[in-house]
Amino acid sequence: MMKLLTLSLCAFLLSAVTSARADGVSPQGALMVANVAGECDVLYSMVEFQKKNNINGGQEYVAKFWASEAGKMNLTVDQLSARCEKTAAAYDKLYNSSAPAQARPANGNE
Amino acid sequence: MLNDKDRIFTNIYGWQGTDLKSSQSRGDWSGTKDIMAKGQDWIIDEVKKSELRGRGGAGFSTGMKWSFMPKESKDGRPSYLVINADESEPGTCKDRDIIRHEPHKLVEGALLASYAMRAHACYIYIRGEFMREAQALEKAIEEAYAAGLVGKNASGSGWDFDIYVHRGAGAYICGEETALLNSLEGKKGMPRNKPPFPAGAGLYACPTTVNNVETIAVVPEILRRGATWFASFGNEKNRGTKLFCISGHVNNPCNVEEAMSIPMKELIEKHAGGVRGGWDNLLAVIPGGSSAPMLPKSSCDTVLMDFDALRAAKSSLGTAAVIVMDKSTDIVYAIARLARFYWHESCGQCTPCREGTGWMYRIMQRMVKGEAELKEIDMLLDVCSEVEGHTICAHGDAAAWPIQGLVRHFRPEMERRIKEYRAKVAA
Repeated sequence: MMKLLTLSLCAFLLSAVTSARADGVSPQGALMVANVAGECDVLYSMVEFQKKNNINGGQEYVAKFWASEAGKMNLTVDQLSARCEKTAAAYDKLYNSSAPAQARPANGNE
Repeated sequence: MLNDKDRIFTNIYGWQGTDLKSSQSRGDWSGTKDIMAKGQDWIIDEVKKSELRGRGGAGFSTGMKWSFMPKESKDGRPSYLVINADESEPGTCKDRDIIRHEPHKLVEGALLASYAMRAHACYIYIRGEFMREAQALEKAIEEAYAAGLVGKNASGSGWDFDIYVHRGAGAYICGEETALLNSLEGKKGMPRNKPPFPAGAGLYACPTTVNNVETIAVVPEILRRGATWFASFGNEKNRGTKLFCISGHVNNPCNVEEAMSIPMKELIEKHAGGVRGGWDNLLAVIPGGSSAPMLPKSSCDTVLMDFDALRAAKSSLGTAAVIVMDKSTDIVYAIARLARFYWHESCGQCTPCREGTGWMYRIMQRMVKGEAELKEIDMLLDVCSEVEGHTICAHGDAAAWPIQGLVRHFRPEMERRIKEYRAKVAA
């Protein structure tokens, strides 16, 4: 969760990645986006887990966890959630751009 | 060159669907129940006969590893299968593509491997950065549960089997099997002393086998087509097909499945479009992920891509991540950058690694500029040998090997820089 602290860099990274896209992906920007997106995904997966299993007291726990993580970055939960969404969108951009870019090898799988 | 009909990963590029129906149309989950009906010992024997060696880097015999697991629990402890999807070795991206595009091969393999080792539960530890990959895997697992392929009475076999995905948090060292187990237990991701080996006391001190994603994903196809088919590829003791990740200064960086023991030159020229500027423009290749010692062009001309041939050439197949460097590469800087990576990723548990990786990086930084003395090259090798083999896990070795490879093959280049720098300062 410590890496969530890097979320504060998100705005910078998102703009860095977006600007780097013109000439190709900035490797460091891509790594950082993936890193932060992965951490956000841990938070999302807690919500999903609670939705599915409806554990007694789980909702309060998840809410407190989000609030605590957001607090570490001097953010509200809404702000953290918005940043996670932005990071996920940037991640998707990278994810979708990487697969088709791979040209077929000589006798690739048809 | 491997024929298309012999490929295990027929959707590695994601040109077809990844859902259960599409996967089944490619042969996944076909006859799983029948395979399980042949029994646990039959599965382990078949994997042994196939001569499959672990695809995570160490290359240990998979069937042998499975046979270390207890056949019955005498003290009530359960057995576990843990799949290492914490793919973090620089240059390696094969497990990522398996999870993205062939997740059902992994889930089916997890069932068969767990059944063979009498494990009712499997944990997949996935790299934290693999956000959509983790979701793709969870979707595949959900589909398998919904279709009755895993869960209670998995695939109608009478075997109960549960599978869980656990996200890591981005530490390279958590790809080391015992650090991974610690991380999975919620502890610091630091390697454990061995013995006890995980097969005796692994996850929650229960018998555990940790396997790489690719190792598990090829198992269903081996069991369906037979060990003899798999063992028909490659040279002796280096059997089967393998996913190679070719990156760096090539015209077409790609992941490709090929037969083991393919010549490196053929692999690069046929699948990656050759070295940028032609084969003669090649400077060196790191053949097995960043920790493998590099090979100069003279070795690359003839070397085969398998465990034993690369070991004989004083390198390693590792994860089969082939990093190609042409003559435009600042080879000293490239290795200095790797030294920085290993320094950054050292968990700090063992003093030789914690301190030695820092020393290696600092000396390498000076070597880049040439701001050193000639005798410091030997001093650097001394530091490497003090770290190598003196740590709990192989991280220390991994940090030392690229530098040893550099000095072994490019010592004149390092000396040239030092002499040039000294001449410049003297002037």
